[in-house]
Parts: sequence; C-alpha cells; structure tokens
Amino acid sequence: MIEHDFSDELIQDYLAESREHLGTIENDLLAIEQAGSQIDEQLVNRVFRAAHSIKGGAGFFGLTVIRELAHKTENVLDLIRSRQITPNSEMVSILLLAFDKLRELVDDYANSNQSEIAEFVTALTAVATSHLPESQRDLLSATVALETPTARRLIEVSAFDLDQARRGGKWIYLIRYDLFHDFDRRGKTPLSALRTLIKCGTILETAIDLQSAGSLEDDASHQLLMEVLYATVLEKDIIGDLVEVKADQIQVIERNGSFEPLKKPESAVTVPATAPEVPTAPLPSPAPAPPPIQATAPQTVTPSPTAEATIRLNVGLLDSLMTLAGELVLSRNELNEAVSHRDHQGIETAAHRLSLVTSELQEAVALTRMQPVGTVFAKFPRVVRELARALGKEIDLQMEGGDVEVDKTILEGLSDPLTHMVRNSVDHGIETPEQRLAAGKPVTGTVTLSARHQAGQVVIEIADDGRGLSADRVMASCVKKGLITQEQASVMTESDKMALIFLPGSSTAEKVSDVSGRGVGMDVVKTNLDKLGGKIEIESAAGRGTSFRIKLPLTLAIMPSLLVSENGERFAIPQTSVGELIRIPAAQRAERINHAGGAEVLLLRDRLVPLLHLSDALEIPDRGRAEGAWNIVLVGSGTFEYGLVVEELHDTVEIVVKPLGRHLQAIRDYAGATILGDGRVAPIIDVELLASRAGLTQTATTRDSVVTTAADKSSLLLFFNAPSEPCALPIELVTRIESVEQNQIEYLGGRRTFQYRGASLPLVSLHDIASVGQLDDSQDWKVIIVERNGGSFGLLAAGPLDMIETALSMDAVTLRQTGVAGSAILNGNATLILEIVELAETALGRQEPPPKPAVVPEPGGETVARQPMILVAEDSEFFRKQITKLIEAVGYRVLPVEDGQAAWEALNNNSMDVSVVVTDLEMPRLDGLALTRQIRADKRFAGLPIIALSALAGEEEIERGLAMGVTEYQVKLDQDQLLDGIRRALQGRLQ
Amino acid sequence: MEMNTIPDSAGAILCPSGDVVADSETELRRRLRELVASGVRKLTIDLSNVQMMDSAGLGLLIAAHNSLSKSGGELTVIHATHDLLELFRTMRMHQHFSISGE
Repeated sequence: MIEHDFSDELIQDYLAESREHLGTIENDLLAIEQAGSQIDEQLVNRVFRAAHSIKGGAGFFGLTVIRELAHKTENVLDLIRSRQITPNSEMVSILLLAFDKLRELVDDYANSNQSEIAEFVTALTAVATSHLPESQRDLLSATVALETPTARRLIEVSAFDLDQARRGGKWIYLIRYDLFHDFDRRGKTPLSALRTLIKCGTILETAIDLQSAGSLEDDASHQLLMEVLYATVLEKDIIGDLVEVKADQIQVIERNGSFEPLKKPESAVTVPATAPEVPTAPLPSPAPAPPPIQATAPQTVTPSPTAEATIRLNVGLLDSLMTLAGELVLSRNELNEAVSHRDHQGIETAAHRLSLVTSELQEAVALTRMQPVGTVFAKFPRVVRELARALGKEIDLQMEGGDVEVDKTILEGLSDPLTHMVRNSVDHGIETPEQRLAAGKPVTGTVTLSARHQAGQVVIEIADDGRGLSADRVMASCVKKGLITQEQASVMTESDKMALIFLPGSSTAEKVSDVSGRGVGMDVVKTNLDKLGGKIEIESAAGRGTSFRIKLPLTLAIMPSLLVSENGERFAIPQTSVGELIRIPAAQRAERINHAGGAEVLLLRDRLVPLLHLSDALEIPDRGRAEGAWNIVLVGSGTFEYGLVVEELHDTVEIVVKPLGRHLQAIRDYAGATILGDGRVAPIIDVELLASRAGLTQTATTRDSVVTTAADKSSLLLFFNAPSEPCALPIELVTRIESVEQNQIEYLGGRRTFQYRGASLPLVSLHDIASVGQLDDSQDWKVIIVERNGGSFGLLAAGPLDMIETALSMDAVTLRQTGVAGSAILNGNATLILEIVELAETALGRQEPPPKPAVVPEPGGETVARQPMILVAEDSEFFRKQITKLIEAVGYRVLPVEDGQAAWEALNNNSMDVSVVVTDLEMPRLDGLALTRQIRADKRFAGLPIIALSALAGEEEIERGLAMGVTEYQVKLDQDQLLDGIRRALQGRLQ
Repeated sequence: MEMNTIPDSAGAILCPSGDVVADSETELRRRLRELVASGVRKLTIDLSNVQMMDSAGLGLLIAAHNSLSKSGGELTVIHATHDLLELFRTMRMHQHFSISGE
C-alpha cells in the first residue's frame, strides 16, 4: 500500500484528469493506426502528452507502477512522433492494451503498486526495439482459472487475454470439440480449423481431454475432446456457422464488455487461493489470503466502482448550485423570521420562495447528471475495428454529436442497445468488400453514429451504407415462423413490415440470411429502449443502407434555444432548427416578400422561402403585422425550410426541456416546454410539426388528419359489421348484448325490430346510414342494445366480440361519415368508431321529439336561444363531441370548449347565459377543479351547478371535488346519468 | 511410411516421415507401443519430416504421452515445423509435454 501522506483531494484530481486523458486516447490511437506512416504529429503529441501527464502525476504520488507503464508507453509514442518507427496495427494493439492496463491501475490506484505489468513492459519494450519475438509474447501472461459450467477442470486463462476480451465488448464462448468428428470428418485439418477461429477472435485457452485419447495399448480411440475458450465480437449464431459445430457444443460464458460495464466476474472467475491449477512461472507468489486478486487477476475486479465515484462538473454549474444554496439559506432565514413573528403573510411569502428555490435547486442538481453521449460512443471505434477485422470487412466509423448531453441514467441504458445495433450494422448491414465492389460501391463501408437534439428529443442515429433491409423478406420470414399470419402480413405497410424485426421470435433466425441478417436480438434492443421511453424508427433502401433512429423523449435535456415572442408570450425554438435571423424593414417588404398562390414567400438571396406567421400558426392574435419591420427566423432541418415570422426576437439561452403534461400532449405544435429564468413557461416550438400543420411540408395532410385525444383510457367494445369491418363503441354506451338468429328479426312498418323483454326493439345496422358493408349470413349476429333518452334500440353487429382498454387516438377525418365518428387502430386493425347519436336518430327516428327538458316549458314553441345553455369543458375531442350530441339531442344548447381556461373565458363572455357547467377534471391549462375554484370564487356565478366528469373516481377525488364546490360528481360517461344530472341541476337552479 | 528409430542413451528417437495422419496412425502406434513395451522411458519424436498432422496424429501423440507418463517416462517432440508448432501451441500441448521447433 502506498502512504497516503498527500491530500486525498489532490489525488482525486489527478485520477479524474488521468481518466479524462485515458478516455480520449483510444480513439486517438485508432486514428494513429489509420494514418499509418502519414503521421499526424498533433495527434501523436496529444497521446504523448496524456501519457506524460499521467506519468508525471504518478511520480508525484509515488505510484511507481503507473509511472513505469506510462513511461514505457511514452517511449513508444516518442519513437512514433520522431518517426523512428511506423505505427502498425500490432503496435497500436499493444499500446491500446497498455492504456487499458493504465486505466485499470488508475482506477485501483491504491493497489496499483502491487500490480504486475511485466508483460506490458516487455511488449512495449519490444515495440520500442521494433521487433517482437513471438516466443516472448507467448509467455506474457499471468493466469486466471476460469470455472466453466461443464468443464471437468478449471480452465486456466491468461488474465491478460481474458481482460482484453472483456474490454473489447466481446462474447466469450466455450466451444467443445471432438476433433475427429468436428475437424477430420468435415475435411478440415486441425490447424486450418483453429486458424479460422484465430482469424475471427482470440483463443483464450484450450484444454485437451487427455484421457479421451486413450493410451498406446488401446486401439486408436477415434475420439479427441478439446474445449476452447474463445473470445470474439461475433454473436452466437454467426459463431455456429463459422466453427460448424452443433449449437449445444457452444456455450456462452460471458457477454461482458459492452453489455455490462466491467464488473466483478463473480462466479466466472475463481482464483484458487493456493494455486495448484495455475501453472507457468510468472505468478509472483499469490497471496494465500484475500485479497487474492492482485497477483493473478487484478485487471478485472475492481475498476467500475471507483470509475463512477468521481465526476467532473462545469464550474458554472457549480456556481449556480452555490448561488441556489445561498438563496435557500436566505429563504430559510426569512421563514424563521416570519415564524417567530407569527407573520402569516410573511410565512406564506417565505414558503413560496422556499419552494421556488427548492425546485430550482432540484433542477440544477439534476443537471449535474447530464453527460455527453460521447462517453458511450467512445468504445465503438474499437468494437467496429475489431469486428470489421474479424469479418474481413473494411469499415469506416463516423461519429457526430458526441457532445450532446443526456441524463446519465439514460446514457447507461443506451449503451446496450447501441452496441447491439452498431454490431448489427457491421455484421449484417455492411457487405464484404467483394460484394461492395460487385455492387459498384466503394470498398469501404461507412457506419455513421450521430446524436443530436431535435425538438426536445435526443435523436441517435445508426446508419450504414450497406445492403439495406428488405421489408418483404423480413415479413416472409416472420410469416414462415408463424409470428404473424398471412392476412396480417397482407395489410401491412412497408414500415410495419420492417418493424417486425423487433418481434421477439424473429431474432431466433437460425440462419442469419433469413432476414437479410437483421433481427438478431432486436427485440431486446426494443425492450431496452422502451424502458427509457424511447422510440425507434427504421429507414432502409435496398442496396443503399439502413438507418435506425432512436428518439429519446428526455425528461431532462439541455438545448440551446432561441427565444422569440408573439403577443407577449414567449416561445423557444431549438437552435438546431434555426438557420438564420432576418429582419425585413417595412420599406423593403414589398420587394423582398412576394405572394405566390395566396402564400407569402421571402426572396432570400437566390431562393424562395415560404413564410409562416407564428400568430397564424398558433391562432393567437397578431399585433402590428401591417406596420413595422418583420423578424423572420429561418428554420428548417435538411428536408424543409421556411421563415417563421415572429413579433420579437430575444436571446439564445440554454433551456432545460420539460415534457408537457399528459393533457398537453394533444397540442402538437409544441415539443415540450421550458421554464425561463423569470419563472415563466415558454413552450418549445416543434418547427416541423408547425410547418406540416400549416401545410408547408408534404406530410401536412397525413399528419393533420390524425386527431389525438388526450390519453384518457376508454374501454371499447369491439365487434364487426361486415366480416372485415371491425367496429368499436365505448362500452359505457352499451346496455346489453344479445345473440340473435336472423329469423328472429321482424319487419314492422318498414323497420326491423326484435322481441326483447316483451317489447319490440327497433334495430339499426351501420349499413342503414353509412356506406359500409352489410352483415353476412355466415356471421354470428348480435344485437347491441343501447339505451338512449329513455328509449332503447338495438345495433345489429357480428361477433367475435372483444373488449379493449386503450387510450383512444381517433382519426376523426379520414373515415368520418354519418354513423361513424372516425377510426382508430385497435389491436392492429383499422377500426371504425361508431357515432351512437347518429345511429340512434336513425333507429328511433328524428321525428320523435326529444324528451322534454324539465325546465323548458314548451320546447316546440321556444326559440333555441331561450333554451338552457350547458357549458361543456372536455379536452378529449371524442368525448366532447359525444357529450355535445347527447345534450343537444335532448334539446339544450351546448357550448363546447376544450379546456378549463377556455371554459372560464366562455363563462366570462356569456356570463349570464350558462345554466350548467359540465366539466372534465383532467384538462390542460386549467383543470376541472381549478375551474371550479375560480367559478366558486366569483360572485357572478353563485349557485351555478357544476357537474364534474372523470375517468378517475377515487373516493378521495370525489371528496376533493365536492369540497371544492362541485355540485355533482360523475364517472365518465353514463349518458342517462349525465342527462339526469343536468336536469336535476337545472331544476335546482330554478328553485 | 518410413520410420527411423535412433537408440539414444536416454531412450529412443522416433523419426517418422510423411504425414502423421489416420492412414499412418496404425503403423506408428504399433511402433510406439513396441518401443514403450521394450522399456523406453524417454521417447523423443522427431517431426523434421512431418508436414501435417490430423486428429488421429494428435490423438496418437497424446496416447503416447499418456502411456509414458503412466510408466514414469516422458515424451518429447522436436523439430516441429512452424505450422505444427502453431497447432501445438494453440492446443496448449506444450503444457503436457516438451515441444520444440525446427
């Protein structure tokens, strides 16, 4: 042990700095290797300096082993720098190993002086003298005994090799051979078979079962068993092809490295305390008692915990933490003061301030967890290099956006999926050089790994220019495996088909070629990303490559953004979307801005850029567009570009993205929101969505037709109209379901009826009012009985019936027609959502007057304007329409609004007109309870009945609602109960 | 196949020529068996003239090693070609008996 006579702080600084150096070295070394004799002095210098500063610090702290190793690497680098030796891949490998070892020593610095580095020193010395005798390298290692699950004995492995394998993100397999069977009978010589292995990985150790060979006295045994411990970047199915043995002869021992950070290899590695199994000399007297790790396997055991123990922070961030802590203290003092004076006003103020500071502090602390994506990216050059080498491919890895910061937790979760996908791209995406040549592509394939912020999300893309993914082949393979049916397949879109590679079973492809290679464990990738709340998209063009896009909706992402304002409200536009800022003075407007087909376009140098007014896009009032200069933010991202006209331009600030609340997610123009320095909220504009809404991009129409209702869960009854026409109705609307034989249906007065509980029930089928298919004789007919306004009718439908609970996302445009409210994708099928009010009108007849509203004396004689007005506040478009129709059907007027704030405004505008308020509880901007509170606080609305509707109906909720002044609380959505409630409320108001 | 056995003070040197493969295995096994039966304890196999070895050959070497170690003797392999040396090393045979190259 070294004496810790130096301050702990100092050494921590040194360690953090060393780790930082070591973090960048790997890629620099790889670049040095690539450059070969074209030595980039700056690059070499950088690595040299890193080694040098590690050495310097180590000398100061008495870390002699670290110093020695750093010194040796420095020697080699110096020789490269002075061009005395030319870097080659052998040499770089040795340097890489040496730096790996250094990292490990730094991580476990306290024990580093006991570490054995002879092999590294020998290898580095050999490089320095430019010849590395093979025999020497063979002797290099200390060993670790590895307990394999089946092995009759421990397999001793070079600790050096094992460690290497773990670091490189490799898989470790145990392959069991019977040499006669697996080599000779397949026409391979043992040497050629083993060489194949060596080409694609590292043979860590082999163990021959001597007994299987028998002795001379026996006849030839025709059996020779051998176990090979093998490390490679290749996955198991590929290995199976490569070594041509049965799957059960290959066993995965470890999938370490990239999949799990280095950690204690628990059961896998045992170091015999009294090492009878450990042969070969270079074991410097293994300590008999713990810690046994030092001599034999120091490499693998301790690093990770220490590696995480310190973190480097931006000084600015630290300062702001200090400031906040200071404010916290001030607020506390203020609070103490107020408490001691029993000053209620003061306590309130102080408490408010305290809570403000606390949340800010919480945010600032959360920021300390932000880490650059580059820390995950950093390992890929090496993974790609080794994998490409093993596969005989030439691959160039491009990385961009390593400085994009994401939360540490997310980063950790990203490591696995990314590794998997990068491997996939290299393994299966990029073709062999011959194939590429034949396809007329450059021999060297390119894999691009990029990260960027896009509208409040972090987008990570893994793209290759390889052979692409054939959607049809993926689909065919899944059909063959029975994962999907032919029918399902026939209605799938191209992207649906590609998404099949995420199905769990598609990964068990025995032959990689089945799905043109992809799909190996992609379901795992998907699961991992789901856990992070991420989404993944695939884009592929046959022969041109594939790109996977991972979108992470970050709860915490830092994004430089431009602040703009419109009508006093501020908005943030992500800087990545901002191209340039243009100011057009009023005088120049006529010549710079043209009108083309009713749209404004800006003449910008030699281009025409469409313009969009933020006020128009967001439908907020516009001030002074006519006079004054226009401020235009040129926004766009590659595929599109437009000018966003805003009222004012402000600073560029770094903002922390907050996700929009559940109810706000229906507002699609915003990618999130941020809280500005003054505590106000600024929505973050999604420029792409804004453009598509305004019809500036091609996706406009498709995007626009999708109406997303808020994420209220609804229970839907699924049934069929014609055999291939799935339909759905909210289950609350359904009273009963009866089976019916066709001969039970009677025709009375030109209308179909059905005997039900002693009365004739009018029947209607969707076909009667909508252009849809007809029920078919072969189907299992059902009558869905619906009660409406005291009357009942039956909807003819067909089984099979099903129930589904879902956050209904209804497209209210594409398939809308009489009787059909819209469509939604349910259980993977496009399903018609029926419009029950319209169906009821058909069944029960329009001529039937609605039951008389209790308080309206003579509805027939009254003008509509005199009828009571019901204000309906509901954010889900589907429910809003349902409720509106329901209430209108009984003769009242309805004022539908989409949230509490709008309700409040409507109330103010029609203050005396509204008789009853029906409000949802969960709503954006102003929720139902807050609305209730405001109404109750305003004398103008004294006694106004408020009926609260909610899907959430816990008792606590109800009590809170009633306490707040809600007149009646109802569970969404029992129609009759609601109508009854309204009638009661109107009566109550009358009294 | 030809084989030369050179008596040596410590034991015997067997110098097979041609490949040590399944075809020649039976003959070579017979010779080795004879040598061990005749009391040879230090047996050296000179591979100067051997280019290739298959699983049968490897099995035979190990069988010889097994027999010799049972009777307290030892096997030495000398003059292995570069390829064979690589094979032996990969299979870690040098952990069991002494092997040297050309």
